[in-house]
Amino acid sequence: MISISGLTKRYRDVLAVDGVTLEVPAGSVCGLLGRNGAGKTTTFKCLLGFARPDAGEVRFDGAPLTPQTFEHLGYVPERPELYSWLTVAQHLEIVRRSQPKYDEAFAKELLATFRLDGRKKAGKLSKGQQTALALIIAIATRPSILILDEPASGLDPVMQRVVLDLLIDAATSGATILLSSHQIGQIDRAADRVAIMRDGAIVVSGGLDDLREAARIVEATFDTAIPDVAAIDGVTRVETAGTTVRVHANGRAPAVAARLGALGATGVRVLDRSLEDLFLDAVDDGGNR
Amino acid sequence: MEYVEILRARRVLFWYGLVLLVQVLITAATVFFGHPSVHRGNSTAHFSSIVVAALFGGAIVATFVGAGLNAESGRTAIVWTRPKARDAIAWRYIAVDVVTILIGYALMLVTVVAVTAIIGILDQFTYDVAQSARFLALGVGAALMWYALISLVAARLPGRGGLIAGLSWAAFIVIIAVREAPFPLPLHALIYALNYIDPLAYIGATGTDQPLLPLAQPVRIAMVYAIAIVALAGSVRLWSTREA
Repeated sequence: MISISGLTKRYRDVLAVDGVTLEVPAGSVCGLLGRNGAGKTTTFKCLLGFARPDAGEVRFDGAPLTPQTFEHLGYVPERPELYSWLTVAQHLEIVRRSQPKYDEAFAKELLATFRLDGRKKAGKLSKGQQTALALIIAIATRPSILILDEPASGLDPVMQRVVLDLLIDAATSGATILLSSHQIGQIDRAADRVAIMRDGAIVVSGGLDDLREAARIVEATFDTAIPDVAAIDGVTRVETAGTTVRVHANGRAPAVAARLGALGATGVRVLDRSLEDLFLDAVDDGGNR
Repeated sequence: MEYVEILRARRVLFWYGLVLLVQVLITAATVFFGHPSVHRGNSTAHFSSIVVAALFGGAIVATFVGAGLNAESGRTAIVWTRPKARDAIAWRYIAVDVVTILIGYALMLVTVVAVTAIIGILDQFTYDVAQSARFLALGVGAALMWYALISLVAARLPGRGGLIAGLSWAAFIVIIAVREAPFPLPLHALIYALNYIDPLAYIGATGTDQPLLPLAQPVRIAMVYAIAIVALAGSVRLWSTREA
């Protein structure tokens, strides 16, 4: 389990992370979404001790971060940080020598999966291959906690699928995973929880199904004038276009739909919303950015 | 994690050793083909001058490995995610570097002895084991101090270790070169003070033990090691507590 409580990080006069509180239960995959500069990477840095938070607390399985935490924590950075002059095999040797739980057979299996040649120098690898190597370094110990910053960046669609499958497998085996990605489809497929950051703060978080349920929209068409629907219990936002009204039902779509029917709507339907819709709603700031 | 530094050191020592070997082979070839560039004379010199001159071997190696820890500033995802305390990782890097510098020093010493033997002037040196041992301690200490100062400054400026290591040569040579220049008093005092953090200033005139600093040799030996240890402790502290 990853528990983040009131995490705050300020760089001079920029509040990079603003009181982030987030809990990722054991065995769950949490997707951290946000626009560039939203504070995702800084949050990760604070989690891993790369940056000192000004306030807040981070706990992994109930304990604060210590060097020993990294025996069961794997991290994939936003940009692979490899030694261009070392071979793929030498990178894995670093892990073998420094991680008691290194699983050599699994690492070899991963090399084959990603079609990486152990003799090739990291500097000669493509961007996608470098990402794959960074991923192998992180997961070759079969960590119980994984933190991944854009883990599929630079990979082709086939390899992206492989990475997602690996993450899903890890989560199925009980690993707790926190990953960020700009590719919402990846999060949608792999994550069961989502947190969306804006301006350093988490503006939406929760189980993906719950969030989807809460975000469902009810669309109703009236032959006559549209009645006052804003007063309906559960309605948080109303958009009208001609004789059609769309209301955000805040998790109460069936009840709101029934109420709209009772108010004389000739057609009522409940619309599911995609994660992308949720994300765009959450980061929407009226077009000021 | 010191595995990376071992690989880095191995690479440095390979190329450094190769250059020294070429130097020996060129000297041998020159003598073999009858064109020795050095002629025997009647003058003698202390063998300790060779011992202390090998400092430059250690300094050359120190220049290449001195920025090793600093180079890891761009690889925190690998280095800082190991289940070891950061300062323990740093000290292990330093241990590898110190051994590398000692090897570099020894290789230079062997090379100079080989070259002087090949050109036939080795018997013109006078040998004093105690004096040579003192100069060895001083030379090794000065090389380590050089390394430690590079590490300390590089720890303050992540990503610029190579530049700092290269500039250290110019800085240390200039500091002792201008120490007697007729600068105004405050500047002169500053330059004089800077001599105390210049490893070359602790060596003195080679072979004759005439110090550039008004300190007895045992004091200078103690100081180069003390400065090296303090500088290394500082660089470890800076490296392990900085933010990525």
